[in-house]
Amino acid sequence: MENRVEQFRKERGLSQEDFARAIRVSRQTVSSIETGRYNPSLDLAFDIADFFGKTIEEIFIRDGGNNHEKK
Amino acid sequence: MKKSELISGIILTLAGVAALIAAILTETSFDGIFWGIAGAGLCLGVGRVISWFHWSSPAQADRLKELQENKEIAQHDELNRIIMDRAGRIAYNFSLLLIVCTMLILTVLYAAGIAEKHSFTILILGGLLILQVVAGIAAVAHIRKKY
Repeated sequence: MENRVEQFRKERGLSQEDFARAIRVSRQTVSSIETGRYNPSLDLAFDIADFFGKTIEEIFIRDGGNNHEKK
Repeated sequence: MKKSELISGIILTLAGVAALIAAILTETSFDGIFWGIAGAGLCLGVGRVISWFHWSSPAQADRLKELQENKEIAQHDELNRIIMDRAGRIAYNFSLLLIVCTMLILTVLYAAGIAEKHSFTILILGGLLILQVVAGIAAVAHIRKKY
């Protein structure tokens, strides 16, 4: 699954640390989401979408895979 | 910082002092245990009391708040939970394999008369405990590299 988290975060001038604190996750989680190594839970995806004022579909782009947890 | 931290620190220190006195004044086969309790109690207790005084000063209030917030985030972080779960599964499977191997080795050693049952069993159990802890830590470190 691709996502535009990094793009939206940078548009708001936020560091990974600041963004992580805002959505109450670790910086490593933000980094892993942005690089596509980890797909967030639905709860966290909603939190991220709410933070940016977007819909989930605008941020996360499904590319055929449906695994929540990367191997 | 919570007052319970200070109280538990004082209790641990007192327990450590009591064990230290017992270790010095008595000469029994329990001396080793007393020394162990004294060391653990004094180190943990004194450390906790010092930590309480350090973090309770007004100058540390902001830093303490930040640290507590970071700790709470780390505890509830979903990626962290997944990593810990996977690490736990790996450590568990590893410990099962280790126990099976240990049983086989012990059986051979006892049968050959190389090992004395009592002392060897204690050593093996201690080794198993340490290996399980180390395996858990190594598994977390290994999985973390993937994210």
